Amino acid sequence: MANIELHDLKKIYGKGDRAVHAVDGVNLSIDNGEFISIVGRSGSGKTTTLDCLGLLLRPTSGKIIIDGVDTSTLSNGKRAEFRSRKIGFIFQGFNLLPSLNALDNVLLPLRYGGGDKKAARKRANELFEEIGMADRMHHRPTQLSGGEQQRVAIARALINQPSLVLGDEPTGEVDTETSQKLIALMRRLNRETGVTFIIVTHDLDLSSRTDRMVRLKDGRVVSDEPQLAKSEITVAEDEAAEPVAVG
Amino acid sequence: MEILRNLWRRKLRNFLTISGIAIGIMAFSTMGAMAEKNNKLIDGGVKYFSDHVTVGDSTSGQFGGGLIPTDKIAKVAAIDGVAAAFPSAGAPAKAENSGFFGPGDQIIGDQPGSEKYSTFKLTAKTGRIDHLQNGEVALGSDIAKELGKKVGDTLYLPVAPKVARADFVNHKFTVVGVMEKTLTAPDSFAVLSLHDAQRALGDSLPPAVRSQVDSSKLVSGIDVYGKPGVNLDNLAKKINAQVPGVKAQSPTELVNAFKQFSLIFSAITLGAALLALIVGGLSVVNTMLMSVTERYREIGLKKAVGAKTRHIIREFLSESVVIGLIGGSIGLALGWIITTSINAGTASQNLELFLLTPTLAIGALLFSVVLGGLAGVIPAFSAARLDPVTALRSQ
Repeated sequence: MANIELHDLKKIYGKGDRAVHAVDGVNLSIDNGEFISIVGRSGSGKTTTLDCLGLLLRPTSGKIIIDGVDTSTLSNGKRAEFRSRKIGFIFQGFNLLPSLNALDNVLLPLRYGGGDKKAARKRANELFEEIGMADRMHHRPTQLSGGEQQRVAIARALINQPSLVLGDEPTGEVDTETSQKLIALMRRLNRETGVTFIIVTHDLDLSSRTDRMVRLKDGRVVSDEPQLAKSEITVAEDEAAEPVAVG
Repeated sequence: MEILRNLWRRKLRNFLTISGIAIGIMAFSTMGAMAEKNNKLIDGGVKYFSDHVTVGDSTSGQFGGGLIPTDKIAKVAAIDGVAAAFPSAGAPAKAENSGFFGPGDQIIGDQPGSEKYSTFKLTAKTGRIDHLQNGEVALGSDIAKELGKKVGDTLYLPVAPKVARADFVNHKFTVVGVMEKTLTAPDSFAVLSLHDAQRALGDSLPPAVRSQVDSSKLVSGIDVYGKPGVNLDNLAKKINAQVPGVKAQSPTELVNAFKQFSLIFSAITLGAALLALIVGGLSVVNTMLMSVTERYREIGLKKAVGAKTRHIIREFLSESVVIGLIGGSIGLALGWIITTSINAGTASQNLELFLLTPTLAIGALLFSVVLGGLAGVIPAFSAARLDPVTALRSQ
């Protein structure tokens, strides 16, 4: 069953002759637990689509339905609540708060979204086990490597047990080996938690290891292909790569 | 804790900002303490002068002074509406009187019976302070402390200067009582019998004049109490009209003069301190605005993970309030150290310049917190208004 639907999504910047159609009528239907990549050249509209999906940006027109909720009708406050409960983010630049340690960074969404803090703390411990950083949860971001910081960001994206994790070039600032391991980690967490992952990337290695690749050009979907065979190979690779130790 | 860590991340800048607030609050508490002390003195003066008419000689200033022959006392007392008229005789208690703040140490003549009329009550801490005989002295708390005298000690008044002139005269007295602290003028009084105070008044005159006058026939003023229901301002006018050679001062005019002085003094001191605080407040605004600019990505991230406008406003406001609180606490501590040190340093001259009351201390601290909060309003709102996408993608 589809848990995310994009209906004729449009985002236009500017007006008249100067109007830029960043997203120009995207239609997508994404099922629960899918691991999808959105690819395309710079200016193809992939990041804008992701920002709209993350409710960070209001589309000019069209609908985004997540778990049956038409998000276009939500107020700014409700959108913030929705983000904290349903959506996790992984950014290119890790975006950890330097004043918080790894554990507090992971627990950050709880500060704004509420919820059972004791249960969240337990879940955070489990997530640190999952990402292989149980012994480093009290370290500050500056004491962690790029790969470790991104693993903490992945744990933060999952702390509220969201329906959807959005990744914006999550392997963009790490070396190839670390990138491989981060991809393996995200794949494994996707399988174990059943959370839908939508990743915007230039990284062909990453996109080739997703279940489905959506290619955008000039704000429109030009191809939308399942990659089952490759995905199966990736699963085998993932299993071989465990336990995860990302440097 | 996160707030303190955020402040620690920009140590130098926040140190400078906190210093700005600290200096402002230090100035506020120090100047405020000076104004408080002054107001306390003024209050005492208001209380002291408002219940009677002060009569000086016709050339005297607003607060009396000059010399009046004693025969004027009976003339004043005979005026309709006068309940009692008491001679007052005063002279400096120390040949080297600072007189910088307040009247300084004064010899004052006892006025037996005036306690029945006066609303300004003095009480003895040790010994007795009324019905003084010749050769006896009752001391105010400050002058007793300054001279290190207690009941039973002997004391020469006026206190001789280090290098006394050949014509300097003083006399031996026995301390019979020390007064409770009033925080106003009587704390610096050495009260003698009227006869002894008149002699001290005579001794304070230039030698050429001194030999020409009989000090027992002179006083420096007359304190006149009215009968119940008598308007003291009208009584002063009546005295001026009926007794030549004296000048009766209307209590209302006197009190207004005190209050005006108090108001001007408070306005000058607190105005200077407020100016320092405004500068401190503006530096908080500047620091917080810079902090917002530097933390665009952090704000964007917080919004992405669910922070609402009110969360961002609360976080930035808390930070500026903490800056205000830390700056205020340091400033108050510095103010306390300064006022206490200066008071201790000037105690030997019986000069207490500052009175840092709990009300002032709490007020200064609250003010620093409010100032921090207000200074954080614009930065906090500008942070909360940031578009999360722009903030996240900023460098």
